[in-house]
Amino acid sequence: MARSVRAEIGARREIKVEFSGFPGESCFDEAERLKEVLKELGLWAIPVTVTPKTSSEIAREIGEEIAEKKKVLHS
Amino acid sequence: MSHISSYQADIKLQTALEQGKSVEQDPGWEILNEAVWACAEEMNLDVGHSIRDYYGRLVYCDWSLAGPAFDRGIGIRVNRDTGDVMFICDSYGGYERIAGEIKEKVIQNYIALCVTRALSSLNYEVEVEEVKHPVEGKKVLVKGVL
Repeated sequence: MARSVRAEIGARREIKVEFSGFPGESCFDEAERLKEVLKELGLWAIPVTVTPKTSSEIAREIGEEIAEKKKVLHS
Repeated sequence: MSHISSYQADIKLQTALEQGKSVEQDPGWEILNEAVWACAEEMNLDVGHSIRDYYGRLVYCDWSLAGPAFDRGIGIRVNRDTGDVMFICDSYGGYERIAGEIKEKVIQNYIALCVTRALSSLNYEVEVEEVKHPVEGKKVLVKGVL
């Protein structure tokens, strides 16, 4: 599964970042890397909440991936 | 595992200062300039370097944004010693809403530009999309795929 980061930037300085497809705990390392690069650019991202995805959410992501792969094989 | 994090953002241009350079050499300076011009285009405002207070007195700043409906303008000033970014405006007389709107738009643009650049520098393929929300206003979605 491809690793992806989806950031939603709201109108009141809030940023929601979703990390998908990272194995193990590596999504937390990636979040730290992103935070460091942002700080170098002058953007200080102060963490408000961190919510690990549930196993069903992860399964759904993987499931979608499998479904997409199947579709490609049949076409 | 994967997760969702939420953050509150603040702008502070310290990278160049920490390297003994001037704040104008900070990577954030150019990004802030870009964010100001994007806001000007979006809200049909003029970019300058001064605002006026209630009495018409001129106040100089690094960037200013003003328009026909808001001729006093809102200014942005970066502290040369600390890198703190300040928005200055004499909003007396009913200009609080428009001044706040411009300020938040500049900050939103700044955040979007930073996230886009940060993901690119981490080798992501990046796509940007803007979504208008009826209650929460404009949202910017930045998606990066490795």
